[in-house]
Amino acid sequence: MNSQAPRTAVAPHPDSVVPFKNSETVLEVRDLAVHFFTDYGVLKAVDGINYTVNPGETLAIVGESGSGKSVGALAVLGLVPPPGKILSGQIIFQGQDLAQASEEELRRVRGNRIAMIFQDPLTSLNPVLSIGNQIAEVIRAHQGASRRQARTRAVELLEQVEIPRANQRFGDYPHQFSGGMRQRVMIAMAIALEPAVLIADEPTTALDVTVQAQILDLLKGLQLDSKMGLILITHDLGVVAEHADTVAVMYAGKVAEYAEVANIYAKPYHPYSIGLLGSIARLDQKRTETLQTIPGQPPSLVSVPSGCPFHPRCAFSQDVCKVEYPELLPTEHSLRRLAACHFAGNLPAPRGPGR
Amino acid sequence: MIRYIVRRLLQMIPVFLGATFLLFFFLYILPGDPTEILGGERATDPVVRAVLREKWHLDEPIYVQYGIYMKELSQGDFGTSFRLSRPVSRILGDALPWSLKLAIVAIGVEAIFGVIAGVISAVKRYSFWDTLTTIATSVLVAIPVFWLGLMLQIAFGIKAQGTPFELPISGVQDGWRSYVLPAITLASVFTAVTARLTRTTMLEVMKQDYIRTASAKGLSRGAVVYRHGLRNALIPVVTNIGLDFGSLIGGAILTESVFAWPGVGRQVFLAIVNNDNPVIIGSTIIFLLAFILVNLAVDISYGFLDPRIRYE
Amino acid sequence: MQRIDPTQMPVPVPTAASEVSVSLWGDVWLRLKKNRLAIIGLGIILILVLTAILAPLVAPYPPDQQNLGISKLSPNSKHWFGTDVLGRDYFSRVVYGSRISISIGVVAVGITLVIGLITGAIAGYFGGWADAIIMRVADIFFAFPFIVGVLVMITVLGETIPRLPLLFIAIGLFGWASAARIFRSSILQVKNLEYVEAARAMGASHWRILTRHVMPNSLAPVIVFATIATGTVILTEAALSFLGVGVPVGTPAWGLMVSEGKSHMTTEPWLVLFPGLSIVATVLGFILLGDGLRDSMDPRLR
Repeated sequence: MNSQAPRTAVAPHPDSVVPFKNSETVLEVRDLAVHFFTDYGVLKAVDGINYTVNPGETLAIVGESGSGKSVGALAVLGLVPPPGKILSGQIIFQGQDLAQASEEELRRVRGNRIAMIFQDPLTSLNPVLSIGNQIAEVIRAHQGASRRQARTRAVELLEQVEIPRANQRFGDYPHQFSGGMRQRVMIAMAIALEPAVLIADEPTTALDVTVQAQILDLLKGLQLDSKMGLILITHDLGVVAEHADTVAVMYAGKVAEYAEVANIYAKPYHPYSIGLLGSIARLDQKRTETLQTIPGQPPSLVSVPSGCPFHPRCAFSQDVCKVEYPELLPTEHSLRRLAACHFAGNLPAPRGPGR
Repeated sequence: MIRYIVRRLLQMIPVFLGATFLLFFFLYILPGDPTEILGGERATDPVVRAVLREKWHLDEPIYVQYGIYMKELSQGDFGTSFRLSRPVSRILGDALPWSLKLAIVAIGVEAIFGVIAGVISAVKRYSFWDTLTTIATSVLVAIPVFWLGLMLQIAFGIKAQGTPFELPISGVQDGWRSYVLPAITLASVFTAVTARLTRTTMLEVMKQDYIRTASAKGLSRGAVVYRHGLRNALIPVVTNIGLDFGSLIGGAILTESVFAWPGVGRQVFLAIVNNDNPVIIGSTIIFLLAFILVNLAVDISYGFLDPRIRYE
Repeated sequence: MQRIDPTQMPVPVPTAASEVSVSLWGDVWLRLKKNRLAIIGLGIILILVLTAILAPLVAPYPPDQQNLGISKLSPNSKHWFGTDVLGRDYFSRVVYGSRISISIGVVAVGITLVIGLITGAIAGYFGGWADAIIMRVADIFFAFPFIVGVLVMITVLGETIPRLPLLFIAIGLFGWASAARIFRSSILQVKNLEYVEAARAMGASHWRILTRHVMPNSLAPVIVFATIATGTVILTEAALSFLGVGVPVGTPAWGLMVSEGKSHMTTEPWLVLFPGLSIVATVLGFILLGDGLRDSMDPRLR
């Protein structure tokens, strides 16, 4: 639901300082803030995030539950449910700021030029309509195609996502498919109109590990053909390592670190990323080393800590961290290597696990 | 699917037998002497009563009476009315079509007004219309059917006499206009319940994930709300309306009495006042049958409406 | 009874039995207080109960006092609701009518609950053939339209059992199936929750589990049912009295008063109006309260 609420004016950043931007960039999110105005207070789900999507690339957005990763994605399509509202920021897509677009303009973009798939394909598909119809529906809605044309195209799509006997299965219902197949149907629905960007919100979390790999490979294959940009929202760092080009780590509604995958795994800068990566079991770790966990809990988004939101759990926090919020700034003089930490690359001595 | 239908049919049979037995139990086994009524003015004469006992098998053991009764039932013989001395099957046969016609019109009212009110209420949540509907439905459920009928008779029959608003308040002789007040009265409570159910179900459905998917696909609001939302919400609503049909036939006793509608309900009422047992049994069996058959039909139709059941 | 749709029943909230008394009901009350319609309903019920209990004090005249000289008076300052055919003060009769309604509501629903809770608990908790039998019998009772079943029972036993108790029993009896079904469904949801397994693992007996853990947490939908059922029962008694098979003639009861006033309604409409409005108001109170209870016990609306 796009809001017409007053926005804080944001001065557009010159292209030369936008991270990861190039001449082909298709989607830029700048300083986006989405707040929920509830009876219990203002919930700052997303509080100023930045990321960029380029054709053919996969951006992974990683974070715990409540980090704001899903809400940020929903905001791109104007689907944030009430009482949420986009408070400020820009969502620049193919030259248009979607944050300012009307409902009708957004509707034309949804499913058509930016598509989204969700976590649980069973509940995300309408149980009383055939899957074929649900796919054909998108085609008819945006392109005014006839039923027959839409059906033909839908069957093509089902074949493209490797559903066997696509023609016979057009009239089948979601409950007649397995989890992995249903997700393929969702993907078929999403790529039907060859969108420039596909947002996948935890697409494999509800699936078996083996099926996970198949789905992700399928997505990669589709990307190669169409140069579609993919935003992969997940909490699974293994998936990120295998399938993403860049990764934005989110914490408490803000981006903590934003870099290419290989670099961040080799050398994370933000203490939160360090903690996350330290908690994965790695093949080159000694078996007797215990897995490090990050002590404490993510903060309530209604009362985010002052200064750096991570400071209560940070082993390296100093006085300045409690007071001043660290902006997401380049490290190593590179716009492809950003971290939101006062001491990025220069961490003081740890004082033991958290405080 | 066929298995499903057969299974439901088999489940219905013991219920029907049990219900008829319960009825029989109430009427013949429990204390009370039908010969008193049968004999009428001559009931004090023991000879007369003996003859009556013979004729109606009242001295036979219970299971014999039940057996005779069930045999006659299966042949469509419901006995003879004490009061009118006509075969019950004829009396009810004349009355049943009227009850059915009224029930059909009432269902129509219920379905149309109930669903529309419920949908508008859900789509425009917290609006003036929504609050109005909530209050109106609560009040409607609280109004006794017979009182509503009387009030409508006063308003549209008596006070409106001579005005274009006048409507027939009794009998069936005025063509379609005779149906108006009785149908509204009969449908009142059911309409209120349907409106509430529709509203609740719609609200539930609109919170589902697939509605979010439909929006994310860029479908128009109408398509999202009606093609995806209502289509799902209607399943329980329609089955509920179907079940109401069974209740409407049996529950029309009050309406038919107030409006002198010549249906089964009216016959039951007259029979009760006059202790006319055969008519009471006959009518009750009709109600039972109607209810059971309607339930069965609704169960089966559910299989068609919800693909998840269809392809078990 | 109205066929109650199980999907509209609140899902029971799993808490340990000891917490039930402190947190759950207190919370329900807090939420209920915020619901204006529910409070109105509660208010109506309280007024009704007080009127019934204090009837002799509230009614200005004895309800049976006939005075043919002042019959059929329209409402005036001495007789707020006018008088009926026999010159009895209508307001007093309406006031005393509340006694019948309240007692029917309480007793009949009480009977329904006793039978329904026991059978529902057995069917839900023990399952198996006990469940199958009980539910089959319930189906049989369900097949009877409510009024018809009660009517039949009353006409049949009308000669042998005094009318008033018979009325209570008949109405109470035919509702047990609904209560049983709701309670059973609630128990089925609760009994498989983890804390019940835990109690079982600790060696608690069936009886203990049933009474201390399962039943208290399954009560929410039943309470909603009982409230709304009271309204339904009052309507049913009114309908039966209207048909002439309810309370004995002469008793001040609202349904009967409507029936008696029917033949005069063109010239003395108040004879039908006031008792009818009383029924509407009373039942409305129970409906509003029942709805409010349902909303405030629904964990999803927290």
